[in-house]
Amino acid sequence: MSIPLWIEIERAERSYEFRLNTLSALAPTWSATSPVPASWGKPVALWLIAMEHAANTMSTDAEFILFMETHLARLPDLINDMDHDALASVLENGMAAAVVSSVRSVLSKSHDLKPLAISFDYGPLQEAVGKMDRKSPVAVALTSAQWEKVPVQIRERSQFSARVESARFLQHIQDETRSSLAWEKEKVTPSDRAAGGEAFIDRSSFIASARKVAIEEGINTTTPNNYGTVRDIRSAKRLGLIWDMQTGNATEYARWKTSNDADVLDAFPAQRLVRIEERMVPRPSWYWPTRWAEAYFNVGGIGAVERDMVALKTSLIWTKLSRFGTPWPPFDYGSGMGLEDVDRDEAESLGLIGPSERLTPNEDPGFNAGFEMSVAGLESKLVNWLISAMGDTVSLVDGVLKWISK
Amino acid sequence: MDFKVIDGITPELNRLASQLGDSRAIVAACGKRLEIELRAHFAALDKKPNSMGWPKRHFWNRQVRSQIALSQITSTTATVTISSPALVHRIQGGTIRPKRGKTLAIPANAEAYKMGSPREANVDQLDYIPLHQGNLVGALIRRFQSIIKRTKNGSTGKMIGGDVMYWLVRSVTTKPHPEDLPSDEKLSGAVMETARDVVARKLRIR
Repeated sequence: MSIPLWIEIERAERSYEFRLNTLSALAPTWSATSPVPASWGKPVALWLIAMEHAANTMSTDAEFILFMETHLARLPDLINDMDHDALASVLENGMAAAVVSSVRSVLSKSHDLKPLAISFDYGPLQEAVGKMDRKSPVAVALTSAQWEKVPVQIRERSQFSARVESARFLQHIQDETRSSLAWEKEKVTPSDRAAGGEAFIDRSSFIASARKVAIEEGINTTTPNNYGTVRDIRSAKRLGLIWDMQTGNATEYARWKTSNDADVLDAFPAQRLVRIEERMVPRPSWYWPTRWAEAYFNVGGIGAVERDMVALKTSLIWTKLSRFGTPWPPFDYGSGMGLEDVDRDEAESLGLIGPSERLTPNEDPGFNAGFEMSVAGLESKLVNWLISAMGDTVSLVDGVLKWISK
Repeated sequence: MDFKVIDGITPELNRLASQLGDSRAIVAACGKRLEIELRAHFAALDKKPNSMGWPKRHFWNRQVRSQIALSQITSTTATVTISSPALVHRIQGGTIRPKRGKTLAIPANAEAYKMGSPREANVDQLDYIPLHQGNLVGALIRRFQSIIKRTKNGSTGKMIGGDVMYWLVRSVTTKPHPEDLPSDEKLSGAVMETARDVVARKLRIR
């Protein structure tokens, strides 16, 4: 007689199934904590305990599977060791189904196996894609200096580029960068110039397509003597900068979000401003230390170290340091500076945090529903555009702009 | 590409979590440490000079390191996401064929490499030379130009151009480079170090 039985073991988020076509797997009274039953099921109970031990202690998955295969091969010997008469009487009493159910229940629930797993995968950063989704094109021809005066909450919701008032061009920037962050492929129609097929959007293809739109829209952001420079919206330098800033801002935002998780903050409460990339024409060596010192002074040194360019992640120094008012990089146009996490031990040794102190995560500076701001001091054309572009997500009452949702 | 569980640490993590009674604190810290380790690994690769001795375009930093973030934390799992199709191709290898053009342009010198693709560089002073040698379709060469200088003693002139800027090919096949990923041992060692630190600290401050 044979009763099919599946044993499921979860380990590291994977489920292993072992099919046993034998009566020997029946051990109705066994559990991980109870004594091994001195009945017909003892050999099998011991066998199951060994399996559980392996699931909890084997260091690699390959080792675990190999062990299980070897272990399963021992089942026929166990069957010979069993008290078959006792077992038969149990079965005759119609207990088989209950027994199987009991074993399965013990394995799937009573063991309370909740394996912890740390992993990495390949795919889009959803927070970065979501950040792009929450933006709206704001086709108002402000200079970059004028845009810098606009509150960060608006800039973080706006897709803009200095001196550009083509909504189509700005929408193109948003669509292309969003598609790239989302790993969406663009369909290229075959022609006499293109082989056709599906292709990822990258920096190079973005520069070419955005330049084409800019030319079609007749956008001209500078004078002929500045053509080809960063002031020229059709130049590779300017379009490459737009790409770097847009994608960099979105991915660094995604990283900032989880860095602000309370448990992550507890283990890695601080960060350090460091050079990530060398530049062909670097800013002077005193530039960033001086900027840091100014920001340090502005926040009264709270949560920051004066000379080492290290601060708590929750310190306001990061938004003061940034040209754009965001606590995540990039902190300036074309900057090669970035962030490096600082762990708890070092943060404590620098006097930034006490041994039992727990930080409160920062609020997201950009996307809070209910955010209100006065429009006094803002360019009227910008206010009008915001109201028309953002539709029913904002309201303007008595000179106060309020975000309703999004 | 596959989801990659850092191998061999689950039993030890479980044991530490049972000591602490708070698995999320451990999982979150370990996930962050994994992000830090991966970013540091690719930052180190970015510091290596370009294999051709050309100016760096910071592939490892811009297309890999900066695209890594801890993306999900639950009470039992932490996932770090690498948002880089370019890395997937680099690790797995494979053949690339043109989609937006008829050929792929391979930079032939440092200047072309720095400029990027011909489409990106928007250089209009390149001439196409057909070659048709198997996979090699042709080349883009710098257009010939005469440069004339007038001096007190008269004029001098010289001809520049003719140098190959890009080779045009039908496809490019790259070998897999799994060695570009950090080793399991290195990652698991770092993650477990953080797990032990978290448990030790939490037990100390209780």
